[in-house]
Amino acid sequence: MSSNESKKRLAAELADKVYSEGNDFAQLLAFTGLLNTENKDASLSSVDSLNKDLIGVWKKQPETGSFVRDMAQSADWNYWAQQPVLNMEKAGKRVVLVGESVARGMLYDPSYTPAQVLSHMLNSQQGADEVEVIDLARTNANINILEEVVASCRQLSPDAIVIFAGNNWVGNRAYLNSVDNSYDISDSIKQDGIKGLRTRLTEALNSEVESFIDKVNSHDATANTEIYWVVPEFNLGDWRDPHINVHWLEGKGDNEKWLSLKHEAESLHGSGEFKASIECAKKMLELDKGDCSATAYILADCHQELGEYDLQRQYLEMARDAAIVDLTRSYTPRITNDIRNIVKVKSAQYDNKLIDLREVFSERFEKVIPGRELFLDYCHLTSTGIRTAMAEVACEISLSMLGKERTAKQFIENAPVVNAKDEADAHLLAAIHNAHWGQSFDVVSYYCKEAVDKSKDVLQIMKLFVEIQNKRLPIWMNNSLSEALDDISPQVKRYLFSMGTNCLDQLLFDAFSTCCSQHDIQLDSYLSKIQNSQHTVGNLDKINLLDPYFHSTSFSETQLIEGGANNRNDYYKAYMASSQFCFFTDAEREQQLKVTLKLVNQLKNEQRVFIKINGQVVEKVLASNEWKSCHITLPKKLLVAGINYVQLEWPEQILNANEHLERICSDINGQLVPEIYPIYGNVFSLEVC
Amino acid sequence: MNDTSVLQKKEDRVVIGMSFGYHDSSCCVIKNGEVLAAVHEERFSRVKNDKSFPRQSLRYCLGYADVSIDEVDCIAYYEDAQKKLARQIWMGTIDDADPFRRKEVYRHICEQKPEDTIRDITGYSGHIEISEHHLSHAASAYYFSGFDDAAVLTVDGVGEWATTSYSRAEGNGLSIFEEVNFPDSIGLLYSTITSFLGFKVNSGEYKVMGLAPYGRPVYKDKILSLIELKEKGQYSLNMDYFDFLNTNRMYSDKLIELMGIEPRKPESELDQIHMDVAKSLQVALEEILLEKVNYLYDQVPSDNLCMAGGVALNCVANGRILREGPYKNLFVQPASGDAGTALGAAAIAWVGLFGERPKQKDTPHAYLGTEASSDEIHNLLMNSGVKFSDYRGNEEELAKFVASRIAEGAVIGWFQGRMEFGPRALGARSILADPRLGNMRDKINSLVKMREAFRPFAPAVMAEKASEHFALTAPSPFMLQTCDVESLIDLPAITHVDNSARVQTVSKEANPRFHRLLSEFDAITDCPIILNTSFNVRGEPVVRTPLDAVTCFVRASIDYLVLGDFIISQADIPEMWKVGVSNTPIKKDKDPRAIGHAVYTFL
Repeated sequence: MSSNESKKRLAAELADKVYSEGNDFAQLLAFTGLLNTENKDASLSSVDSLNKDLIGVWKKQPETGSFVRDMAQSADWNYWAQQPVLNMEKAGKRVVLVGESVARGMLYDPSYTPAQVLSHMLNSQQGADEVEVIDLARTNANINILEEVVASCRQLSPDAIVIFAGNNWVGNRAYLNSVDNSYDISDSIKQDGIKGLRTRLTEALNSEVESFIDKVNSHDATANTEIYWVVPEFNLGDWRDPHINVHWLEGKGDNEKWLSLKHEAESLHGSGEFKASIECAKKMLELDKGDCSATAYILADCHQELGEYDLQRQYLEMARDAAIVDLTRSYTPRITNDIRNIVKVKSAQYDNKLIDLREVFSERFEKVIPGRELFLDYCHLTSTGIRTAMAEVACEISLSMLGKERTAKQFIENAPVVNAKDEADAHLLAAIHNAHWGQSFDVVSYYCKEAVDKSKDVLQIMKLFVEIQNKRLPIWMNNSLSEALDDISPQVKRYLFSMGTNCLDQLLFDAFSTCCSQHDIQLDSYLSKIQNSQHTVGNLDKINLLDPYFHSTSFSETQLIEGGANNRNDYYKAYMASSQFCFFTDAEREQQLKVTLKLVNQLKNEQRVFIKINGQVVEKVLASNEWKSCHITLPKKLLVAGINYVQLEWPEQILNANEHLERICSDINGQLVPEIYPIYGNVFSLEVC
Repeated sequence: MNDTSVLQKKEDRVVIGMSFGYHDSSCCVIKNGEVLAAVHEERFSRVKNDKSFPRQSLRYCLGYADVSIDEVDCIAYYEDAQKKLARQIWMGTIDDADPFRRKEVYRHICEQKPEDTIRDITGYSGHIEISEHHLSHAASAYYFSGFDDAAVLTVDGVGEWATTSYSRAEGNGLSIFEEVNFPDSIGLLYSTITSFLGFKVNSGEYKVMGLAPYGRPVYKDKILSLIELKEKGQYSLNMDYFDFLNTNRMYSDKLIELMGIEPRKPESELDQIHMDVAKSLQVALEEILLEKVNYLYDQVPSDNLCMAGGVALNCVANGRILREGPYKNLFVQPASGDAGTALGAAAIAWVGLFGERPKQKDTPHAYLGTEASSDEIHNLLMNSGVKFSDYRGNEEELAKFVASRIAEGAVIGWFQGRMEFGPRALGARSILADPRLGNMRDKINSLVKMREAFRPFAPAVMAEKASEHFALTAPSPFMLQTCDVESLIDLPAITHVDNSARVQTVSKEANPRFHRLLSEFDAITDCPIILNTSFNVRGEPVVRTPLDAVTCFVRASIDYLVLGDFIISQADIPEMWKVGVSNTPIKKDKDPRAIGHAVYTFL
């Protein structure tokens, strides 16, 4: 036999081994490093492969040396400032603002941006055009993009670079996808459970941030450019991440224990026994080790009731930072304490200037916990927030670069203000954005009311938005929008045109209706008419209730978009003991519900899933760990005209943490996104007709 | 309350077929012996040649068949992943294999097995049946050919090890009796020259076929020197001329030396030499296939030949095999590429499970995909506020209107009924135009489809009048063979430079509305032929939904869009539609679901 044939036989034997012993065998081979699996070229930083002719979406013109927007990147233009040209010639001092959406002034941009405000502040103090501020902030910029922009903007010979960023760094999951890291991560999980996962993720993130700061400063020795870091603050006062129970805990029975404690803590909180609730929640904390926002929110709420605001802040920060381990659901951008601390320490090593908005807001407003007065959502600033932040930057630049000492108050007094219409539009968009990220009626209503108070014109946009969301057309096909386009601000247009998905928006529309009714506009009847015409069973063949449109108004809770919450499993996952879906009917006839479901965990005994329509049990389905389908008749008498709710109440099951933690490790080793939360049940299909 | 609502296992027999992981993912369902639905995942995801798990296709198939996942008797997968892994590992052990290839080996041995992927993604716990790649191809052709016995030839780039297979089939039985194994591969030979000509491997092969008639076969001997035809069905490639085993490039420097010309740079000018190379390759392929078909006839002297595999999409070769080969009848699976293997795998599983051939023995049509109801389309148009004409209940007037517009030189987007399975548009998702107009080919290529000027278009012809215009020896409902144009009508837009055409014969039974349109066009013009090309633009999959059709209609500036019973004129679309579509980019190759084009994806 030829050597070629020997190799083929060898290959067949190895393939057989891989298949008979499972993927673990192959993974173990990889972890030894003997297979030399990593592509070292891929580890080159983005700066190493920097295209010298580009700064963001601007391309160098060989004739003039200036940078103009590159047609090849026109799809990305909307992420950046609407600035056609970046000129090379400098008249006076030049400041470049780099950052993410918070630095773009999201929801105000292009009418009112941090760069505009900073420019106005600096020039109103120093004389016309003495300081040029170039806006290179980019929506959705991650740390690699920032690194590229900071490196490439040197071509503009800036005297100062202001880096206003940090919110988008925590979401990087690239670390998990590396073969080199996966064994370490799974080893940590074996030792410390999900805390071990968090430790590894935090280490990786810290290292990435440190490296970024090093790279920013590595260009500086000869460039004579001052670096200013603006560390964002988070809307701790109003923002609440969607509720989730604790992840898998290591000890036997600990998940059940945690759920029981949670029930007790919430009950005590509800009855005003805050100290007792705190004691209970602290026992939860011992189990979840601070990696579950639900615990931290209970503690924060109790301390708020007791007037203990420093402790309230501590737990709100804990809740915010726990998102780092939430691998399967979407969560909003945020800056964590770890990131903040690293930027502070590391920037000091390089004598960079630092503006920490946590400290700035705390001092200016004398509040421990900032909220809606400074924020439009989780991190994007109101015009007050923008002015306050930029005034502090202006102070630093004025002193350091221009040698003139001014107070923030002086800058704020001379700052431009937003016109009422733009302020109204920003608050209307904030209401929509908050609703789409699952925030409360109180918060959404607040932004609606603020919007209407600033300009009644937004009432018409509310009506238009109701139509957009209910007609489920691509936005560009909406005739009403087309007709109204000339009267809509650029920021509203941009938001609507970039809105990826639509949903029923019941909470948002309730808030709209409240505002409209206060101004004698009856949105309710219009809403009801359009919903019935567009969504009523009977007008449609059948309705798929797993369509996110019918089960979620929050991106965090959205499942089954192009196949699964984590782009892996193609079925709905019940993270809570009850799952709710909705549909519209005229209630003039009975309807049929078809469901295919299964349970996930070990069964205690015969288990049934209770299926309810509008709170009434219509079926108790004997369920198992295999898919089971059933047809259920929904009697006419239980239906109501308009919106109806289907609830699936999942039975209690045995939560076997060890089995699931092992699976999490195996998934990580296989570079699959692990599911770290217990799941009560799965739904493959749920249709009403 | 009891548990009576829970569905008892129905009497229905249900088998799902799947192809995914490499390119052109697809899914089909056979229920009670009938193929009820078959779809490409790319049509849902809008990622050309999407290789990802056919999630949306599966859901469509289940829904169309009105079955739940727990009612499925078996999910059939089209390929033996373990055997393929052995080949991939072997490739990593080859001396001088480049680091990229070695790294790929690691990825392959660590990746999830298809069986685990199916269970992980769907939660399915029932039976899973794995079939070999070429057997799946062969089954996709034979079991739905309408023949009771046949010889089966499958030819593609590579499956597990096999690149070519020879089978005999009779009744329920289908067995491969000989294979040619990797790296010897006619498909890879074709892909290598495709790459040499600057087209994308895995998707540019049909462009080479279209380019060939412009050339002369002056390089035929050189191309034939790359392959040694051996005894029986065997042949071997001279690997000195191929680099796909060692590098991330298909051809070697020695091939460049042999051809005596530089490889063409992608998107660069096409010269006569490139056309000559294409023609030489085409003729070489035809000669090789003819010899192997003659060998197959020696082994299986049936009247019937079935073909599948990517190479069977070469309709020019198919036409020659039927004309010059020993078999009387030829059936080529309409979804001859890897998407069609889902059908074959399902058929094999069916025979294995139930001991009988699927009840449906033929392929009366390829309309196995999604459709949109008249109400759905009406709602879309009403909600958008666009001006449209409503022809509900008046098909005759609709056909007359469209036929008149075509006769006036208009280009029509034609969206009707269920979508086709397979790469060809057959009158369900088509762009239509007048074949008699001299400038129509250039107009559609450049303005509408935004593709290379040389690309030919195909004619759809009323089946009963086909022989008056084309030298067809048998019906060609799936546009899978070419023949000479013999029409008295001048048909410049669908006649290739060598006087050939890739004909679709349209019968009233298979597609009544399309047939009616052809009849109306014939009544107006005395020409029962319409130019028919797929409803998409360069780089995007064929449209699936009314919304996809509207988007393509706007993007390609098509004159009229016929959506079921409704017609929109380009002149009536709002300006915002154009802005909106221009901001809706076609999904690019960088999408992780897209396939690579440097080397054959299977490698």
